[in-house]
Amino acid sequence: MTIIGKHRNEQDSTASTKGYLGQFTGVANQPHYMKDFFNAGFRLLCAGVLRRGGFGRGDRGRGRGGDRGRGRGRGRGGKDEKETWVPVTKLGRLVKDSKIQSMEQIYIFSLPIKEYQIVDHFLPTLKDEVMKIMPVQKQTRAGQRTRFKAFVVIGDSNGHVGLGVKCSKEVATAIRGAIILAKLSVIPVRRGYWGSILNEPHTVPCKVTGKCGSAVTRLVPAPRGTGIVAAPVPKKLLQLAGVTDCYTQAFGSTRTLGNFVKATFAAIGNTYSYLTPDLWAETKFAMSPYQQFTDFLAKPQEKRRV
Amino acid sequence: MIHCPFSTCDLTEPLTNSTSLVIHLKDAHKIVFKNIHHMFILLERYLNHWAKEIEAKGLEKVGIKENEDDEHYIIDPAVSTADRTLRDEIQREKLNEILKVQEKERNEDAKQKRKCLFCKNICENRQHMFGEHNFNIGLPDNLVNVNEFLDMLEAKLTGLQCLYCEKTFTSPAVLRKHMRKKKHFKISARNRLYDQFYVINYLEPGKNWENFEHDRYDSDDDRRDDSWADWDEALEEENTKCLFEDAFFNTAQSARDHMKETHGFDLEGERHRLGLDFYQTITLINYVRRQTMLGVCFSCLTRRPQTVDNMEEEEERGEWLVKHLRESGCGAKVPSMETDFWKDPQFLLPILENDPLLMIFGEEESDDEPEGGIAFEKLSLSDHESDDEDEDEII
Repeated sequence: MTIIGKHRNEQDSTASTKGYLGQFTGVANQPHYMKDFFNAGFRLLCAGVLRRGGFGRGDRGRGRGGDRGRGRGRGRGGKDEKETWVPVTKLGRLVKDSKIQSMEQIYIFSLPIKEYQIVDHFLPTLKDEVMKIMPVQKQTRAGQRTRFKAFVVIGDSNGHVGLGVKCSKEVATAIRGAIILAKLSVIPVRRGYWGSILNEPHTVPCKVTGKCGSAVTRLVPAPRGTGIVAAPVPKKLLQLAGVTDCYTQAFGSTRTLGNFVKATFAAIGNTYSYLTPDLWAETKFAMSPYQQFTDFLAKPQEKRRV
Repeated sequence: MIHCPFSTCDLTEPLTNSTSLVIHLKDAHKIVFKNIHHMFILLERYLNHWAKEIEAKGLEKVGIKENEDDEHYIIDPAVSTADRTLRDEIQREKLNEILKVQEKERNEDAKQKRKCLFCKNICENRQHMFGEHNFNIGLPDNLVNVNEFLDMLEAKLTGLQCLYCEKTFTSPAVLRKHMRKKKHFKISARNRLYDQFYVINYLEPGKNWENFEHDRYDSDDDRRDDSWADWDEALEEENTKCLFEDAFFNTAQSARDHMKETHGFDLEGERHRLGLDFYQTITLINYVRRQTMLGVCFSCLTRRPQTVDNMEEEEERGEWLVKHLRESGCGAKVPSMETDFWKDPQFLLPILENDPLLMIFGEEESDDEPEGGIAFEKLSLSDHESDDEDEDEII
């Protein structure tokens, strides 16, 4: 192929058609139909960068997919692979470079997680479940505005759960947003034994309570084989948390299912807040990852190639 | 395709399109609905409601004459609040129904296999159509009645009509060639018939997805709206079965009260009297359920007599226990603490699945928390958003 510098000075019959592309890909030397191909390629690249949904094949689609839910890109599973993640937070950078081995290291230092890809990286088996979609209205000067609100719970049935809620004009956008928020709120769940310490932990380690609004939920350890004795909604949450057996009690206004679910979530989260005798040993404090990897973090990130 | 909603009307055939409907309403019934196209998806319900109103009250009360000479009555949502509230109500109902349908679809129907519209494969989901043929009708979460939708599109294709430009062709091969060349692997955006399959069209009357596309997008408004307290639904019936008979109650509380009154079995009272802790209460409840199932009174252990057992009727058998409790007052006589069943671990496993009766007691039990004040803060995850609720919000 021709070299950039050289190209400029050459007398070329197709010099007028060089354009921007001509400098890089030697397009001007190609037959005309190939030029179109390269042009299309450049447009495709732009499309990818702007994240407007990948390969439009020329038609940027006022088709029914259109703007709606950025459907074009999402719907096309396969061709348009997930764009590689470029982290923007320090934690993200550490995770991307495998300096951190597991979620638990993040939890020990209570580092806030702001990028959902971090959670995806450590917990690829997270399953999400939409609990409810409801329309909510808001009174504005221009009349009422109705939107959809999605409530999502996510978990891997092995010690991690998260809750997310998001409001949006379209159902799909609301669900997607809620899933991302749920991933950001993932919390570890401590499980224990009821009687004998055999096999895997199956129930909560002790009686724990969670409160939200006026709804109070109490989780009580149960023997193996009890199953989860709870109302359907918190039951789903407990199943996704990986708790196999548990008694629950609900007090206060269980009318507000939203607060009820949040109270259960708080209760599950409290399993790791409770200091049991086996945790009495003195902790050896370690350096926070930010401290440990300062040198790595000080290096500027590789610029993302456009 | 709609029938005239008035029962006194002579027209028996259905009206096939909106213009003929409007004309018919104007001529035959002297009514003009303003902005009726807003309600197209909900037309039938809307018109039926108005028809009933008009037949009940008479047209003069309900409509407004534009001017004295005009024969027609006008029903206008901008003017009549009744109309506006009616439209809002109907639309909200429909929206909730649609969401329920969508939920069902999401859980069950999405897994069904379906033959691809364009080639002969049977694909599990629409990924195939998107991937292979670049056919996009939108994200599955935005659609409703998907099977109907796909059926409709399939019918169009077998009718040799292109999905996008709607021109008819002579044979399937020609049609396929046309679609491939022109890349018409999408559906016509303007076709109103497809509106009913997209949930966004049900959001507000009169606005379909085109309005929303141009709407200013205020996603930063959402921070306030992400509160869980909006989910104001009651827990679905905690179908609680009485411990002694086959009666079901809507809440565990009412079941408890019923047992206290009818059978003399006071759960709370017994707990306090005997000083039962959590696990003992569970044991007691499960034990009573088990005994009832076997036809034995839990207190005096008398079996249901043979004659009653032989009867086929469940009710007859159940009634025996109720009668027995009433006569002997066994409901109040909980077996003493020395009895064997208290230590039997099988009664810690619930006899009935998701027994709501096991979920309501024990509120006064102190939360075994250390005295430190720090622990209490961790416990409550109060809904911060609800503290400064936007007063404009109507949910």
